[in-house]
Amino acid sequence: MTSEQLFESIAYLDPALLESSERPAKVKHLLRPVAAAICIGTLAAALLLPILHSTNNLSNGDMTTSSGQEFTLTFHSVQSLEDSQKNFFYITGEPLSNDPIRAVFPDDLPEELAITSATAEYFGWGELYQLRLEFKNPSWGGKTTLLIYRVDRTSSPSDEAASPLSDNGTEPTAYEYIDEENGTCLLWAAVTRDGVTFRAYANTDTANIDQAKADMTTILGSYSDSKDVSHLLPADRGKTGD
Amino acid sequence: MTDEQIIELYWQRDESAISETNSKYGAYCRTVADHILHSAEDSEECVNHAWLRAWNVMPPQRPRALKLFLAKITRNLAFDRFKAQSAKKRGGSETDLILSELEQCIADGTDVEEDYIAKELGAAINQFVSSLPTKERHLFIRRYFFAESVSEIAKKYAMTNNYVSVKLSRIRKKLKNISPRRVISHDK
Repeated sequence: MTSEQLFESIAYLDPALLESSERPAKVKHLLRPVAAAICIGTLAAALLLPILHSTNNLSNGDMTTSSGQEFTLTFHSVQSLEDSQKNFFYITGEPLSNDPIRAVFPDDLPEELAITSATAEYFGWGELYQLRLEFKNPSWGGKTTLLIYRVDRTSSPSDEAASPLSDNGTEPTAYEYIDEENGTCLLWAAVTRDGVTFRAYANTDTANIDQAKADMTTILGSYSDSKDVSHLLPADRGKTGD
Repeated sequence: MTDEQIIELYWQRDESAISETNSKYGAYCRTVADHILHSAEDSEECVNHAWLRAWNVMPPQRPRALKLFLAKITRNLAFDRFKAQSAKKRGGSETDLILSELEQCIADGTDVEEDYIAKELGAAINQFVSSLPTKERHLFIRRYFFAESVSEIAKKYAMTNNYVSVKLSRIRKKLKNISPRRVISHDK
C-alpha cells in the first residue's frame, strides 16, 4: 500500500462525517468577546455607511469609513455573457456539415433513423468534449440522442462504479427510469469500443417505450459493431480560452 | 435553487443542471481542487471535468449530499491530475507533504492483495474517523480529505499551527494501527 492509495481511500469517507466538518467551526469561549466586538463593529459600519455615503457623495465603488479606512469594490468588465462563459464546461457546439455527418453514420443504420442534428462540442479551452447526434424516427416521432466521446477525457481509473457501462466496458448496459405519475420514461445506455464511448438517451411517453428501446438498441448496435470507430471524433480545435 | 432541484435537472437531462451547479458550487469545488493542485488554471479545468463526471453519473446516482458528492468527484479528479503531474516532477508541494505524512501511517510489510486492501481500507478508515473525538475528526478531514494546509486549519478552528500539527501527528499514529492486515484479522 502507498500513501497515494491511502489518500485515495479517504475519498470514501461517509458523507455524513464530511458534512460535520463543513459546519462553521465554533469560536472558542475566550474569543467570544472579540467576536461580539466584531459583530458590533460590523453592525455599526452597516448603519454608518449609508449615512457617510449620502453625505460624502463618493463615486461608485469607493468610499471612506469613519475610521478613515478605504473600502473599495473592483468591478471587472465583461464583454458579453458569452465571453464570460468561454472557459466554462463546454461552449455552444458547432454544427457539423454533411460530410462529417456522413463520416459518423454507420453503414448498417436503417435509413428511417435520420440524423436531425449533429454537433461537435468543445471544452472552453478548445479540447473536444463530445459529438452529439440527434436521431428521429419519423414512423413514431421519437427522438434518440447519441453522445460520442473518448473515455480517457471524461473518466478516470479512480471513478466510483457509477458509469452506465458494464464492468468490462464493452457490453452495453441500459437503464430506464419510469415516472409513473407523469407517464414518461427516461432510457439511457452506453457501450465502449476501442476507447470511444457511445452513450444514448431518450425521453418519451411510457406508451412508446418499446419503440424507443428498439431505436436505441439499433443505434447503439450499429455504432458498436462498426469496424473502425477511431475516425468518429473530429480533432481538437486548439486553445480558445486564451 | 435547492440541491434536490439541481439533481432533478440532471435526471431530466437538462443541461442547465451544469450552470446551476457551477453557480452554486463552482467556487467551492475550485477551492477543493486548488488545495491539491495549487494552480488556478488546473483547478478550473479540473472542476469543468467534475461537471462532466457529475453529468455522466446522474442518473443513475442520486446523491444524498450534492455538495460533498461534487467535492469527492473534484478531489478524485484533482488527485489524478496531481499524480500525472507528479510523474514528471516530484516533491515540494503541500500535497506532497500530505502524502509524506500519510506514509507514516502505513504499517510495514503489508503484503495482502491490493484489491482486498482497497476495499477494506475505505471501510476501516470510515470506522477510524467515526471513532475520533469531534475536534480530531474535523482536523483529520480538513487535512486529509480537503488537503487544507495546517495554517488554514489552525485559522478555521482558532488554534495555533503547532497545536494542529501535534494533534495530526497523534491521529496519524492511531491511524497506523488500522492497517489493512489488522482489518482483515478482525474480520476473520
